Amino acid sequence: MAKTILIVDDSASIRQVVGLTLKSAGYEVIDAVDGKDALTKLDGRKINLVISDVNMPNMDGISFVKEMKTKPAYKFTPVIMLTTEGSEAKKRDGQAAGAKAWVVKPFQPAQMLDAVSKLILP
Amino acid sequence: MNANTNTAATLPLLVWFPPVLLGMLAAVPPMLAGGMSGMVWAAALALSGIGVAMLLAAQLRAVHKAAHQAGGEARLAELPAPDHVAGLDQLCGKVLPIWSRQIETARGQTETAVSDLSLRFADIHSHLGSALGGYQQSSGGSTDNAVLTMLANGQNELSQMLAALRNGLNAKEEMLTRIREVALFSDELKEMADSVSAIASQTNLLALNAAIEAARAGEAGRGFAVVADEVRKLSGLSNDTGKKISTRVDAISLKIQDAVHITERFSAQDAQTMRDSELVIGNVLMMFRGAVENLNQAASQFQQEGMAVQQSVAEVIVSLQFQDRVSQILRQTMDDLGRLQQRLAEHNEQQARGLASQPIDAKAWLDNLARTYTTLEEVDNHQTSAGNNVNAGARVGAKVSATTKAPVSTNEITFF
Repeated sequence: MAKTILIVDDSASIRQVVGLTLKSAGYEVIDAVDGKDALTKLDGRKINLVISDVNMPNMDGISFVKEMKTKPAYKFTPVIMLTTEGSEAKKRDGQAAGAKAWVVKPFQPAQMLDAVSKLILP
Repeated sequence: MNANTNTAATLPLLVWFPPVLLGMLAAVPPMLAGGMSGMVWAAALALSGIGVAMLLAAQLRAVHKAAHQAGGEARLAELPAPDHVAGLDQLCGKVLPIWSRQIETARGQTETAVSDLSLRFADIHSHLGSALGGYQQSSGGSTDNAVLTMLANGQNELSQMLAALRNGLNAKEEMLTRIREVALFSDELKEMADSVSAIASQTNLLALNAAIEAARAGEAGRGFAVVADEVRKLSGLSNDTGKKISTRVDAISLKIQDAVHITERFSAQDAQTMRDSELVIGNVLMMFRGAVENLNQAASQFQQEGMAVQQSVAEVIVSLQFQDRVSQILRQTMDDLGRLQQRLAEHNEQQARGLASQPIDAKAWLDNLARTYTTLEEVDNHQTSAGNNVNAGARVGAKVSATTKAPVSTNEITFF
């Protein structure tokens, strides 16, 4: 069965490009437009990995990851932050929230897939 | 505190502010131009803003210069405070919301267009994927196996049909041989008929001699004469029969010869038809094979081209990521314009109440602004623009060219 990845980004074009990249590698993709929307997707279904933006309306990526990590079913789901943010302070925030990797936009599909394959849960 | 720092910290908010914002805006047009040439007006917007900034900076420089000329060591702090650019506050109060709306319109239109583009490109990518996948499935993964197998089967079946026809032809040859053998028997029959005639002739001669001898014997030979006469009649009948047989055998022999000739002619025609058929079938199969090879070549080329297009479409979608950076830069610029507008409104309100307005702390403002940046371009623009205070306005033109570069893919992945 294909592994499922949740994409959280307020930019439709980023959701498209990440979705296309992942689908071409055989992953199932679901998406959300911000942290709040993403929390509604954590409804008990199996999610093997999350890719989340940082700066989003309603609920930002760091808060979303912190909230997600409080849910037992998703406590160990690996998270890749995908953002224009490049500062070390923000990265430390991401790491503290429980993210496993920090990818700065614009990303290269091959590198994204490499990071996904390294981190995704079986 | 020297004249410059004093100036920067208190009075000319409108001197340091536009260059910083314009520096941020200047990063946007090249991104748009990199992805969408139709968004030239966004660049025009930025450039018109640069014009306003340069005008403001020139005015302030003139004031600054006049102060130096008039007072030698006169300090800028001694100049009448913001009022010496009369009407600027009112202008800003009105123009800032317009700038914000223009930027938001540009941002919204770009975002909608790019989202739509990426959606359509994703659609094209997916359709191409289905088409190429379908082609590979129908050809069994290789280009020509199915059609070549079909051709080989056709050739095999046609060969079997030719073999059956050749068997028929051989059977006819066999029949011809038999007929030729029958023709040989007819010659023998003719000889036998001739023999019958010869025997009848000799029998007739013998009967004639017997009649003569019977006549010589007189009365005693009368009975014998009757017998001799009967024998002569019989020999005559035999002779007739022999001749009839000979005639019939000749007729049969002629018919057989005709049959042999006709059969031989048909047989030759059949053999020729066989050879022609083999040639035609061979040619047709060769034509089919050639056509199939051409088709396969074209299909294979189509597949390669299709894959190349799909790859290009994927790259286009990847490059549309610039929109996210553009949106963020424009949003932060708008937010700061909004903050400035609010600050001016507060200032006007306090003045209206006759209260002294707190001077704006430029450094604190810039530090706050810097904290909102997410992209390296913004930080770069800020550092170059903000570090030059009053003179920054004059350098805006030079700065624009320094920042007109598309966002570089940082390819940065950090694993924790």
